[in-house]
Amino acid sequence: MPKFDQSHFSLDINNTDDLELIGMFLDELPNRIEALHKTAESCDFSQLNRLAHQLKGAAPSFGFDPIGAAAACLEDRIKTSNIEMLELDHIRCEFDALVSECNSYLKYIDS
Amino acid sequence: MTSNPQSQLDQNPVVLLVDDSEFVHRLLNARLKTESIQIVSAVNGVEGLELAKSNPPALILLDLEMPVMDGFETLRQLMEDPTTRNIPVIVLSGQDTTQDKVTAFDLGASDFVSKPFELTELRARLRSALRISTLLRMLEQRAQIDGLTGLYNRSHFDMRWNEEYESSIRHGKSLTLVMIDIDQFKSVNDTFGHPAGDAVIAGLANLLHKHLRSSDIACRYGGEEFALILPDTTPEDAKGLCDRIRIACEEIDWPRHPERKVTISLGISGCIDGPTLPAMEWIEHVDSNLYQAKERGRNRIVCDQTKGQLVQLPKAG
Repeated sequence: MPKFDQSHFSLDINNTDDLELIGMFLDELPNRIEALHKTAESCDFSQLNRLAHQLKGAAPSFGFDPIGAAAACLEDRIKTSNIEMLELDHIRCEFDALVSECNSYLKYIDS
Repeated sequence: MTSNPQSQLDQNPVVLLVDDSEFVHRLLNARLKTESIQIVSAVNGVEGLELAKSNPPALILLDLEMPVMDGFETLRQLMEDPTTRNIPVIVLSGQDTTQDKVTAFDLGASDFVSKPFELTELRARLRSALRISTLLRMLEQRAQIDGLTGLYNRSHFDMRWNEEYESSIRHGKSLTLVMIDIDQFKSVNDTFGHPAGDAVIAGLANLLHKHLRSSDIACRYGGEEFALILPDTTPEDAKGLCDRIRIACEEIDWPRHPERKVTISLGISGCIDGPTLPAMEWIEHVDSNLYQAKERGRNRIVCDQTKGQLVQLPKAG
């Protein structure tokens, strides 16, 4: 597992309390990525919107600003679309960007 | 010693967090652990409402976007219920349009914090809301206390009498009501002046405070009249307790008028296994027992057990 790169986190990786929060988020991250994939595959866009909304609100507080920003873009994209007519391809770009941001942190998790 | 209507303000106030995001629960539990608060968690509005009603917290942190019941509807229901209406609510939300904020404040929110949180700010707002809530509760308690005696006042009596009456029906338990009047009080005022009269009222309150148990509720009913609500107490037991108070009162030496003793008359009526009279009639009946005690020569007790059929609580719905 690589050492934490401070430029990757908006909390202080040398502060014990901050590190505890980073750890909590990382613990939950694989589940979130899986939930994002499952929800997208089943085209449940209101649930996908909820997942994005939660990540937008929570990720920055745990030190994961880029995930928060990508989640905000996905939420915005879903919210400004007609959810009845929505297809995965319409939001593919924002969805992939969010998953990619999440994946970029997986290297910090012990396998 | 009777329950003392003094402010009992929590050292570790309960804060109810209603949010569907597991992340937010973890985050706030971790980040607010130094705040001397106790966080209780609910993951949707329905659960939050149940917890708020069953054990009202000092403060509620409420998310807006939640499944089952959203934050606006939860807030509306909190504000409609008398048990939760006065609990301050800080709305936490990722929806931070002006309209959302206006709606939240119009529905009764005390504050609005946007997600992602600036935790230092959230902590400051939480402390501020708890401070205001503490002051409001102090004011509320003061409004229930009689200034001269420190006992509960008439408005508290009306509320508690109804509560204890219903509780006695529900649990089929004994309950006794006592009315006390200071004998010939007007002559104390007329002869020795109003400060002496006030000292007698305060002195009797002090005596009640010493003799009653923590579950008893002593109120100044008005002027020189006092009311005691004695839950789980039969009229017979109440009579014993009240006779000790009557004798103790008679034995007091009053510094302002050592030559003039003060006596009290008492009307008592109680039930053994649930009320047999409507709540208002019961008060009138105790009052009439007090009147008889006066008629029979004062400094005495007239006590009985209420008669009639057991009263049933009206069925809900």
